[in-house]
Amino acid sequence: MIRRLALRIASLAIVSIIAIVSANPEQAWADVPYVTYYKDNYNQQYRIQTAYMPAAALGRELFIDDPDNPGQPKHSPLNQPQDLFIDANDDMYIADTGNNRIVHLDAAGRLLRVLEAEDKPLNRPQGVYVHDNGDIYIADTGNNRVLRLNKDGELLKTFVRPESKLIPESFKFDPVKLVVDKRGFLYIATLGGYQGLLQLDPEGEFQGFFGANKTSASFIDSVKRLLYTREMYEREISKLPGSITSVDKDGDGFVYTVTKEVSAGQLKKLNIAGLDQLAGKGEFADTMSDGRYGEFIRQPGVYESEAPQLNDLTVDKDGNITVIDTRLNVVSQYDGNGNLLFFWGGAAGDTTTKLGLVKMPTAIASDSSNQLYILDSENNVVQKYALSEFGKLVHEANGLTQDGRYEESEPLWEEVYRQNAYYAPAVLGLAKAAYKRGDYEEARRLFGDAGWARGYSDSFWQNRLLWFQNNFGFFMNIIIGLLAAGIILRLAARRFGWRLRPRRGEGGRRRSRELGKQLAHALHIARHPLDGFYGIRHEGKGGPAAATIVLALALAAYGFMRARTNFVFNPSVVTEPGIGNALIQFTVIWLGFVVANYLTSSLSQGEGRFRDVYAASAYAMLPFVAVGVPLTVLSGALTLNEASIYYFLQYGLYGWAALLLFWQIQGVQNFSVGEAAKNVLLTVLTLFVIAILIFIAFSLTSELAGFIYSIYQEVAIR
Amino acid sequence: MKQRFASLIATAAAVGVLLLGLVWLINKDAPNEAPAASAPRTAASAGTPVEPGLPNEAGFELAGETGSFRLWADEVTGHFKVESKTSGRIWRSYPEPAYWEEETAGGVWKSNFLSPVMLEYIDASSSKSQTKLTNWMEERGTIEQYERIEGGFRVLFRLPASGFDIPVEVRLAEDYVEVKVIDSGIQEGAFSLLNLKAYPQFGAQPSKDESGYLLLPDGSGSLVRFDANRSNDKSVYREPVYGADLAFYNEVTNRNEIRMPVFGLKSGEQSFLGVMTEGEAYAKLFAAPAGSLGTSNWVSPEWQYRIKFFQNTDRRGTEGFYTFSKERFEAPARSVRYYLLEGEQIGYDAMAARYRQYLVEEKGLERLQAENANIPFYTDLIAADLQQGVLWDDYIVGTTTEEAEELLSTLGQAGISNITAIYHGWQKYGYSSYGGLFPADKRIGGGSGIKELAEAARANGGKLLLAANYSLNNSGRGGFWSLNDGLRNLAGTLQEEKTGTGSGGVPIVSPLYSFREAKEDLASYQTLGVDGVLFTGGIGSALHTDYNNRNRATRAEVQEGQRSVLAETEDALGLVAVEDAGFYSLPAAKHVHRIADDYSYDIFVDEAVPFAQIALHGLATYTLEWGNLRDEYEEEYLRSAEYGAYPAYVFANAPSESFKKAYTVWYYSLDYRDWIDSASEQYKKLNDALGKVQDQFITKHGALAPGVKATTYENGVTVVVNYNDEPFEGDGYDVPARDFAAIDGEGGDET
Repeated sequence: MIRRLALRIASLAIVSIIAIVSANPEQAWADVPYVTYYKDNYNQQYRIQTAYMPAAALGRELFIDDPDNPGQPKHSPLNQPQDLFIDANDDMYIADTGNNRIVHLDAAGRLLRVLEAEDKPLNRPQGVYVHDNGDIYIADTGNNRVLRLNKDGELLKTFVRPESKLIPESFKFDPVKLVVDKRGFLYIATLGGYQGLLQLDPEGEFQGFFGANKTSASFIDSVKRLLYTREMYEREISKLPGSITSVDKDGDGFVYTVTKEVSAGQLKKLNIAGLDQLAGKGEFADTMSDGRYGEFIRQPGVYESEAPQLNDLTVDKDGNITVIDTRLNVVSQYDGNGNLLFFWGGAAGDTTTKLGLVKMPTAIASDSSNQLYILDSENNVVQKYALSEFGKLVHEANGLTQDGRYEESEPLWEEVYRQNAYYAPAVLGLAKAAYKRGDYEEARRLFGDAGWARGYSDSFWQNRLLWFQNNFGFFMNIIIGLLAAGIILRLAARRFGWRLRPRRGEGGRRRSRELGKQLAHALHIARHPLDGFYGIRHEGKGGPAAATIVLALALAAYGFMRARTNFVFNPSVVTEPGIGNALIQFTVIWLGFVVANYLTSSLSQGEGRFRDVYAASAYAMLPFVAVGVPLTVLSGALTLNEASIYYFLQYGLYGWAALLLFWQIQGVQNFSVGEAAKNVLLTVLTLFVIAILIFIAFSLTSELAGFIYSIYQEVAIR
Repeated sequence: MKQRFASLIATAAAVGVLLLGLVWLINKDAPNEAPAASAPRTAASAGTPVEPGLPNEAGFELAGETGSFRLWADEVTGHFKVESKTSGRIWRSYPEPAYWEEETAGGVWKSNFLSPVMLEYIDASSSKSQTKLTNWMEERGTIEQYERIEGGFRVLFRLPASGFDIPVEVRLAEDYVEVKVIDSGIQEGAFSLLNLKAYPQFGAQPSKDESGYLLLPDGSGSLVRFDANRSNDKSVYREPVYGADLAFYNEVTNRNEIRMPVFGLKSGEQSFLGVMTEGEAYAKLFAAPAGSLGTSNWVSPEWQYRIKFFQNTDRRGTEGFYTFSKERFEAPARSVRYYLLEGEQIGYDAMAARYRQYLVEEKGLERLQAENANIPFYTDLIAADLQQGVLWDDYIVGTTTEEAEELLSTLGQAGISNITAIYHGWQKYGYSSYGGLFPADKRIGGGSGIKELAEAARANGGKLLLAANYSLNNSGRGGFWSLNDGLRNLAGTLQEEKTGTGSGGVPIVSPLYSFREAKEDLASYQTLGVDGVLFTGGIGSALHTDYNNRNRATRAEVQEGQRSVLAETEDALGLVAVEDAGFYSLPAAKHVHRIADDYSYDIFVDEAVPFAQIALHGLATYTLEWGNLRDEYEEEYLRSAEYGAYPAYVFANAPSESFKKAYTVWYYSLDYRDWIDSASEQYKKLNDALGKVQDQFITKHGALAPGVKATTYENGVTVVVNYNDEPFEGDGYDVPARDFAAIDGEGGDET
């Protein structure tokens, strides 16, 4: 939990810094028109080989018999098509929404027939599904019905809004996408149907809602809930769970859904009971994969603020899931457990139409040989993609890993790794194989390379165990030896009257002795904080020079903690190796606290002078040196299993530092506990005010400068 | 009385002074007015307004004649046609009359097709005005001047409504006809000329011949096959020759940049190759497949005179407006030659062969001498880069000079010979630290290390080049200060390249500054004893106009400057290589590194062809993308055999993971130990096929069957490449699945 929080913070931090990858688009001189990436579990993006190559643009040249001029072919392009289905023979069915028809194409994109309803014309059909038995199901959205045709296009059944008191009055039957399972049960995604997929039996009887999304409840919502009346709260339409955008199914009976307006769980893999198989089961479940799907491409210097909006998905024969994103125009592929494999995307110019580039993706499908087809409703074309050599290799290797056949996958992953050393799934695949083999050292190294904390931790645990087992005798000997030596020493001391504690040395120059004393005062503070801080103010103990040294040590220790803590506990080691910013933040906040504290306490009859506040606050940072450094060293020997020890000590460190600061106020200013508490509040408030003032001053000046510059430019140029 | 007289005199004097002043004012204006009045020109007598329509071919006169062609010119419309003496085939500068009836374009486009000159202009006096497209026929233009010159004619087109005078010369010589726009004779009236096309319909053909195609210089060259374009695709091709110019607005098309100023069109049994020979740096190439603009396929240079740019009004450069420069781009002339091909040899391979002949005859390129029986192997070695460190950047060592020596000898032991090593990131702080290259970083061996490496490379029969990017500077070394020495666009904004190295981007260096720096460094290269330099990032490949007052340079001047840097480098060091070179760098550049081998995937383009490679083979060496960074490892290896390209790999001694977080080096598989086996195997295979044709020109290229390509060289060797999963059985030879074979003599039976 803490780890996840830390990761979240770290990932927020890296959004503001620059992406590692310097994919300079101008340099792509012999490539497909998009770039393929992989993103590791620290959200760091790596450029990889193209996984899918553009293969063809289909469905551009559709000709029907000209109704005005029979016998003559007439160009009849697709018009805002919304759905694409590929059947077992690789024939394509396209819901040609703008033309109110379904077109049936062969695998090469040649028109075979146009399907229309016999009774009344289709009205903006948005979904089409072909059952294994050849029956064609059409979501005739504009007519609020679903049609079932046999394979010759004859109408078998019409499904309309089912009658059931379990269906709320407000439910509108606007079917958009649908799948039909082996039994002939229909799972229908409806417009705005937040209740989930509408499940109908072959007779059209209501069977229930399936796979509904959950509402996301934020803090604001709970406040609203507290304050609003029931009517007001219910009017908050946005509080409805997201309605499912599209649905697909695989050969094993899993139903997959994508949902647009949600921040997590965009993609779901539902079993027969409606339980999501992807939630919390991903490879990186303990790190970043927090159930968010749909990737975005980070460009150097560009901050992407828009969230992905998944529109459709397809599951190929190997169970890999590919989703398309209408907003960011990125295609992302995950394996059957929701682990990212690749994602790609690229921008065409406004004036160019390119093979492999989709402007407005509305549907995606895959054929029997795992080729992908993406329907573009702006260019009215189906773009076809075929796996590249690299993509094939990855699929094959990953398939074996997912089945748990780690040893078999190893040579394949080795080849992937040879071709791309940055591709984390390959490193993970090799790491798992090594772990399975019992080569824990290798596994630890590989897991560490891939940055997978759980695996790293587990292999380290094994290693450590082995190490302890091997060295158990040695350690026992040392411990016994030490004990014996101690006892002998003690006996001897008693016998000969030695003094075990050395007398304090009296040599040295006076100044350095003075400084030494002041430094030693830090130890006194550690033992008797209140007394020690009081001493700084009233007994002249501790001075600015010594305090500065302590502060510098604390700063160094803080930097050491940031830079050297095991990545298992501190992901920012990986994402943000630089500590410059952290040190500056530390210094600024500390200085701000000193100034604010001095200001507020001198107003409330505090006795501390500025130098005392400065010195005492510096001494209060002592825990960073005393606990932080050993803790950081220790973290290298801990695994996730001992995370509680680590976090206990870490909290202890911060708690102690906070307490010291509190006592500092009490001791230096000679405050009671109550006064000190009040003073802390005021100090924090002042700190905020100072920060806001500085911020305002800065932004106003730069705005003013910009304003003057632009006026000058406007006058000078126009 | 006296007083009165005095006041009268005073008044008279005042009036006199006023009158004098008035007269002076009038006189002062007069000299200005006089030419303005004559600006609409005295020669209203010369031409009569033209009637839009096809020229009357009966009225053409013979304007020039060579051994095999006749040039016929029309005094009325300024159009011309070229006739082959042997076959009677005709290339027209206007639409094919036989198919003109079928033309479906309407409005101004119809007259655009008929007109010898079409242009775009803008009213610069109003900031709100839009660009307008017009042509000589639409405006009922006149011909002010028509005179015969040697081998052709000169004509002055006047566009009365927009007020432009456009002088054009057409000349027939040997096997080409040349169309030249004379910049010095262009007159503008109230409006500003943006761009013009002269005889845009030269050789244009509707899609009657299914085997016809347009040749575009996209990537290595690509074909737009003639089809009916039944899907109503309106896309056209319009790209600047030699790539974008950062000083101006560049349309985002994400296409490969044009590297060669050529284009072509084949239909029936005739074709032409267009070569822009003068002023091409100020040209865009415009191509319209049938159905996008009219029913014809046509392709034409679009000569640029002004390009819009973004004038920012705030400091960040986000607010502002688009406007045009006041000054016209001036080139001495802008000419395009149409080389006319007919008979059997008319395909893109023949066009490329003609272009090669042009390069040899006009640009002074010479045939390579094969110094070594083995083909060269190029290996780029990454010396070092930076990554973010705890307090300051960490230096990642990829390959020290000693390690490089070992690497080269390991390659040698694996059977790879004739190795040209290219050392990257040897400057202080490595790859991401641009500018002020010398001295080399001590941590990778320093200057002495490079010296030893160069000797070691030569001892093994190879070469050592140093890679140098003079176009970026973020280190400030060499006294570079971006405010003084940085590239500025027309609005005065400093230009930066966005890379991973920092939040702001890396300043781009003023071209003139970079030339000075490159020339000053030559002595240092000589001291190191390296065999040459590989220019990356700018010199030889990118042309940017610079509006930095200290280093002001036009695109043409930058082009000249780059040529002189390359020539001096060749004189000083011997070998000049350029990464993804523009063909203007060719006489000096003897190696083109990582030349494009694919097209830009425009949907109207059908396939990529090795036009650039056919033109280059035997004149300069070239490689395709690095072997270890290919998208498709096997496919692109086969392609390098087809394209006659030598193998190239990018290597480092450090494990591949070392560069995972590097700022610039993103290459995901650098460890040479991972690649040495496959590299040596592929090298040997390629060596067998290409070793004997190193100095041979490619004479023929084509498909034997779907997925089977054949490349024939002068000495009769044909390399047959089979991309299919099934073996290919040729005439007396077999090529295994996904493999290639070199067949001596007339082995390949091409279709």
